[in-house]
Amino acid sequence: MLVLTRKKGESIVIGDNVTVKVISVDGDQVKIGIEAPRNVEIHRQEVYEAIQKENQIAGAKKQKISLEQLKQWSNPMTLLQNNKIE
Amino acid sequence: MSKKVSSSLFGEIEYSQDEVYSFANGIPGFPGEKAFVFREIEESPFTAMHSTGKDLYFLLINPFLFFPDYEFTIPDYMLEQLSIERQEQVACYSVVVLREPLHESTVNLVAPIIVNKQNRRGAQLVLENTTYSVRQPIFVNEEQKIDETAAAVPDQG
Repeated sequence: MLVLTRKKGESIVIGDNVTVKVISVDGDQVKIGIEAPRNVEIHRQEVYEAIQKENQIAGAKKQKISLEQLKQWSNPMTLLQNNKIE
Repeated sequence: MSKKVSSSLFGEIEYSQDEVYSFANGIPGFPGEKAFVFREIEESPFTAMHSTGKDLYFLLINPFLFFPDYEFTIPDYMLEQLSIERQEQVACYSVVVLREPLHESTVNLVAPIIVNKQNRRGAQLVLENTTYSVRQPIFVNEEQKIDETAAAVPDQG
């Protein structure tokens, strides 16, 4: 890992299109500004990891789940929807 | 020409190439899964998003039916990635996790599945700066009803 020391207001340039700037430092909190092309995806790591984890649970083998079982959900769902529409 | 993939839910799914949605980056946790078919499960609120490569599927719901106030903005990078130009091209789903007991099942409102129905491209959008939960209980109302009728059951937190 490349480690660089930066002061408040200083930046790092990544490639041609991405700039990362230290906006402020307050104790153990660092506010970072990122300038990147609109098509670049930027996420907090813990948010992204939470989604990965949730997807892995959602995609895990669901041995007990059958189509018949899923159809049983139609009744409570319908009730719930009706409740909200009214 | 139709193709087949075996499925623990459907037994087998038969599909044609023009039904396949392409997820260029996979989805978080499954970066290699780039092709899915969508199958509505009749008489249920669910749609299955099934891998064309193996027995792997996700149960989805239409979040707006369950949470009428749910809203988010699709950022530019995603509009670009999916070549979305008009609202009519878009369909949104949320990923469900079925839990035991079933009424504790949750839905991920932080990361909706976005598809362009016209060019059949899809992606999972990760919302930033959102107050929504990755584990939103689906049956909020139902649980409240259960709580009212079974007040003696201790809260399991």
